Amino acid sequence: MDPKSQDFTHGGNSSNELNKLPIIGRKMLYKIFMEIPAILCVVTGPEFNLLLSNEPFYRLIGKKDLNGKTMNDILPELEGQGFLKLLTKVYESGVPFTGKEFPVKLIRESGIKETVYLNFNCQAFLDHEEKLTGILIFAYDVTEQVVSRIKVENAESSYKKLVEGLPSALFTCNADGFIDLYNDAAVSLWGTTPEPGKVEFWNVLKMLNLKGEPLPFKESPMYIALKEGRVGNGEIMIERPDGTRRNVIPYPQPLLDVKGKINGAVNVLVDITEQVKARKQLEQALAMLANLYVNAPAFICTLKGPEFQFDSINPEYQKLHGKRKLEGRKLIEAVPELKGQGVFELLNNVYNTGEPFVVTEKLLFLGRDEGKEPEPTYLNFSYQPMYDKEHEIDGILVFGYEVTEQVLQRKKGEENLKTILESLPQITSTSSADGTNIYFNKFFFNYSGLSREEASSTGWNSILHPDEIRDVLAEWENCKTTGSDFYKEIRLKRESDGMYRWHIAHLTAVKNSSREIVQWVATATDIHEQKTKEQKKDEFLSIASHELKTPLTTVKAYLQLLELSLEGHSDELKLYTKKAIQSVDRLKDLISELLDVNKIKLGLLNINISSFNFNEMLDNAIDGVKTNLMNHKIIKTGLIKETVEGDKERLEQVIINLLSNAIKYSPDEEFVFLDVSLDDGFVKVSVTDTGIGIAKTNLDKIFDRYFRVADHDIQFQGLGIGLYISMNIIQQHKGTLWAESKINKGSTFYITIPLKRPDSN
Amino acid sequence: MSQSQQKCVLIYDDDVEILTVCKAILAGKNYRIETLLYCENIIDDIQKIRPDIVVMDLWIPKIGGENAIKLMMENDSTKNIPVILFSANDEIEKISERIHANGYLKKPFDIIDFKKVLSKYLDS
Repeated sequence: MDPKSQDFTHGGNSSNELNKLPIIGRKMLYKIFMEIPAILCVVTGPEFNLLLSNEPFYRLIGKKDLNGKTMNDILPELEGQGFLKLLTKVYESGVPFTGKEFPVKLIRESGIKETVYLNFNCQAFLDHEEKLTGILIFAYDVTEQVVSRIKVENAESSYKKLVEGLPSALFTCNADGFIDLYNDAAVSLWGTTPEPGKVEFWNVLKMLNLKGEPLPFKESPMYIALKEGRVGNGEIMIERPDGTRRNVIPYPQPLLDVKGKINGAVNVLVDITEQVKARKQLEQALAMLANLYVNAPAFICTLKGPEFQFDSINPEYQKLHGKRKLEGRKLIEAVPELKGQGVFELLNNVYNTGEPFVVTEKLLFLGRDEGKEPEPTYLNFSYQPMYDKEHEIDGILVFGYEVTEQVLQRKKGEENLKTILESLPQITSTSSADGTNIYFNKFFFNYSGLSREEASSTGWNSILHPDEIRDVLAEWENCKTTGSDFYKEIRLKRESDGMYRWHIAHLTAVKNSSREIVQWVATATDIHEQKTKEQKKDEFLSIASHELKTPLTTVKAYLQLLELSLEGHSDELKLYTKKAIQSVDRLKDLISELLDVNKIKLGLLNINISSFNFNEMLDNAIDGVKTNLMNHKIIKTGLIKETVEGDKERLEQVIINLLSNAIKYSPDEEFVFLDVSLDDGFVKVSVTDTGIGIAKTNLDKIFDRYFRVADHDIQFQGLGIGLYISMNIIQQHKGTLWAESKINKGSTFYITIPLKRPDSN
Repeated sequence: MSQSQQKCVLIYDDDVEILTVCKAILAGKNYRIETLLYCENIIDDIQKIRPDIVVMDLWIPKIGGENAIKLMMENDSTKNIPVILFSANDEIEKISERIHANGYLKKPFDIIDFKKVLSKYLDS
């Protein structure tokens, strides 16, 4: 905080400081701060310490002497009401907040939660280092209007309450001044209980004038009323027996007998000690406001009357207009360049309706000195109506600060970003949250051959491939409602040769801190060459695996012939032949897997549905891996009696894959467990091993094509595509496949598939 | 057994090695085994050789095995001869259904299966 303002908060010589302020008079500060029937307070720091506040604020909350305390200390009842959150938001974002008929529950003297309704505006202000330092809160208590409007309270009872709540001390004396009658309030004011008829009122306690000097009793208003019949009043002080002093205003009235002769007097004493105290505090608060007014890095000025005459201007406001003379001049004369910039319409609206106006980053062209070329100036500011004593609007309070530098810097950043976007060798565009096209980069125009007008009306639609346009647009609609990303390989038409080239398109939502979509950014990268190469590779793979199988066929056949011709020869020879045949089978499986992957990629892996005995299939699968068993035993539990609809061969392939993996990854173990059960129309199979397990980070990836847990690379063989194929097969059965695993404890793979095909009856 | 009583197997494959090993597998059987590398003249071939069963590879140059079988099925004099497909093509099961073949064998096949399927049609 600014050291000067810190001096002030300590307070001592506030009146001196006030006198030092030539620009704004004491009277004007009074107007701004006190006589607006509005609640005004200034809080600083993240805890919202009350820096200063006015009488209406105290009246609102029913507490006093709070400066320096935090909002939470002052009003713990605000907890959970959302108001502090609002302040925090304003404090963190710097964005002003305006509320209308905002209900706030307060615990005042009554100790009961009362709902008050406020129209308010919270405006952050910056310190010299452009850091948010506090919040200025303007508020209007509109409880009465709201309450009367909703007819919750009846007028009579509220009036009674008001009367009951009025504190008034009352006493009478006879013609000689002896105290006659008095009420409880008088006793508590005096601090003593005089004996009726025994004491003159001037002897009950000491009377003093406002300078603290003894007041001769003959000069007291009561005495004058009693002796001269004149009714006068004026503030006096009384000193109680305990030495404390109270400020009171006496309202004496002579009492006349039937002949019209004064035979006594009645006096109502109004205790204004609190008001006087408050007035003194006000002076202090005003001094702080004056300091804020002069030293705050915020501009403040008041405009009087319907023609908006400059009334008071703080130095920061003066800076906006250089050395121009402003005071006493009409806004339109002093700052003529504002004409046509919409300012007067705004001011008139506030003046006529009383609705405060708040704006951020408003661009105004202001000449820093008279006659100088107006410069773009960005301002955050508010217009608040000011009221006269009759509660009529008689002017406008302008509060705000300049943000030109920040805005220009940000715009420069945006400009840089645009330059980058322009030079990207990628199609790039942006659109608003609702999908309206905003921006296309140069590459988009070059590629599509569209004009700016065509691009902004049709966007990407005119270059999408006819086969894909419907899917793409449907997905785009989905993105707009869900806010999710779009990531897809699509074909886009190139203008120069009319060719639809493959692109990877990526659409992503830019969101603000409240997770609302601000805009969409779309890019498309040409992957045509890669895609074509991949297609060629896939085609090659398909032919290669077919060609590889042909010699394999002869190898296997000759080996089997050899095996048959070895009848009667040594077991060793037979074993060698058997091993060779097993190896050929594995080679065949590997080639098949390669081909399956290729088919999955091309979307050609089809399943042939039939009803089959699931249990038998499981037994076949177990037989199928028996030839590969090292020292393992497969323990099967559970039984499915029902027939299952599915592709028997493909499902057997999945079970074989899971069993082979379980064996492969538990080389030193004895058992692999297979369990089957029926659960709510689904067949569930689990394959469990007690082997090396899979790290959590790898668990999701094991179903990826060609993924193999790196740690196992050397130790274990296989292409790592088996699970990828299995996953595809299970998905085609509308089932699920997942794994649970712990390192060094083993893994369990689960499959569930519906007993009956969902689309069959 | 005289030659006229001998059952005849006609095998089409563009790979000579496959044809050779097929002959070796069936050597112990009393079949007459004819092999051909091309299939575009299938009707003429069948009329000349008069096989009791046709074993057809799918990927054969020019018209291909599937079309050759279709020609055969459309011809009254040849349509009743049993047909077995054998191929490394994974679609063999579907193709077999499509052209109403009597059976199929996925390459690489097991020689026992090969002998079984022929025996089913020839040794009854």
